Amino acid sequence: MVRYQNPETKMMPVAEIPPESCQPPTGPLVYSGGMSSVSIDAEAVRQLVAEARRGHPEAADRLVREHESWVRSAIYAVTGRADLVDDIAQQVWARVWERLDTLENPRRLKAWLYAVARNAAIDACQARRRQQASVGSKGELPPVADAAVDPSAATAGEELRRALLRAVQALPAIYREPFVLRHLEDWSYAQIGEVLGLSPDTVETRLVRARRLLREMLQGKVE
Amino acid sequence: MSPGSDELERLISRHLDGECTPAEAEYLRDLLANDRTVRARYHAARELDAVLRAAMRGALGRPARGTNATGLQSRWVRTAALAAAAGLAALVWLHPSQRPEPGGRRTAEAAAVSSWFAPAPATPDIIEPMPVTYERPALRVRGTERNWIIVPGRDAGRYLVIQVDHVRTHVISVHRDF
Repeated sequence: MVRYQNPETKMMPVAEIPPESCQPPTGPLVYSGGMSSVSIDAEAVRQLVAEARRGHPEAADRLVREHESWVRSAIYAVTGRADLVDDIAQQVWARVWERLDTLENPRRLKAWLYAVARNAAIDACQARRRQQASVGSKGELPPVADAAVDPSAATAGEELRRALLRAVQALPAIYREPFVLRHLEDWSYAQIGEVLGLSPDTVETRLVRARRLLREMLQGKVE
Repeated sequence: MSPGSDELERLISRHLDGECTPAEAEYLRDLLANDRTVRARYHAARELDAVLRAAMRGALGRPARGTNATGLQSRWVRTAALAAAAGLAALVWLHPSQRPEPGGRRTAEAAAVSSWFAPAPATPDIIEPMPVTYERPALRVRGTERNWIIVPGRDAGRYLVIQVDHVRTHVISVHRDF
């Protein structure tokens, strides 16, 4: 069973979110192997993990390729910070490589990977908070990658984009995680519940509340 | 009879997530057809979902795409479509001309070349003359692992060579006339 420790996190209004803040869940996700069935070819995964453990670069390569995208989404779901995803993803794969031997049941690979990613994201955020506390640095969300030609349109689009991302960042992590996984990975309630250790009904309730909170935070900003 | 606000919110959320049963989708379709308030709430929720999805995808450097819950599409419909696509793919694969070579040699070679951990194949440096309007530097060398900016010195055979990479820029050779 995957479980949360101290899952409740208070929500901050968007305006009060410091740009550099990182609001992960406060407790680590403890993976202990028990989950319902997953919609993947279990035997293929078992072989893949076994080969990767034996040091086959092609298997390790496939492991990364097949899971990299959603692992990045998971990191974003936990931290709410897109600019931290690249760095944390590297740490995640380093940890995966170190700890692949601790994966008791390769059929639980996805939940195990999620737990590794989540814990790495929490550690990174805590380290960042400590660093910021000692330095007192300030930063901003990364700029838009592709600005429109019209400067006023680009500014308006940029403002909206920032408001949207700040709102996602401001969501309590217990709501942000299922919301991001649903919207970036199109996972079903059951699939989200499997990695988070929640029932589909709980996932549904959290998605309803996430949407309600986002609607309230973004009232008047999205037509 | 119209549903309560919480019930409607949950129904809309389920539908946007593609989790509605056919009966729920039908019920929502009726509500949308007959109740302007429900229609407004549904479209507002759908719009908010779409812009949030696009913003998050953009933030992670992923290409934008349409919402996956347009119209009254549900996970049930998508499951049927996936099954049909899988059947079609199987038919194509079973065609003799599409079968892989025995032993999968070509696949293994392709995987080795594209391996995440394999060293990148060496490619020759690109030497580009600089524009004539720009006197110095006269030459720029772009390699696979570094960029060099080469500035000719006043004396023949003397150059300032600046090595540039993604992390830092540093001068590796400075002559007196610079």
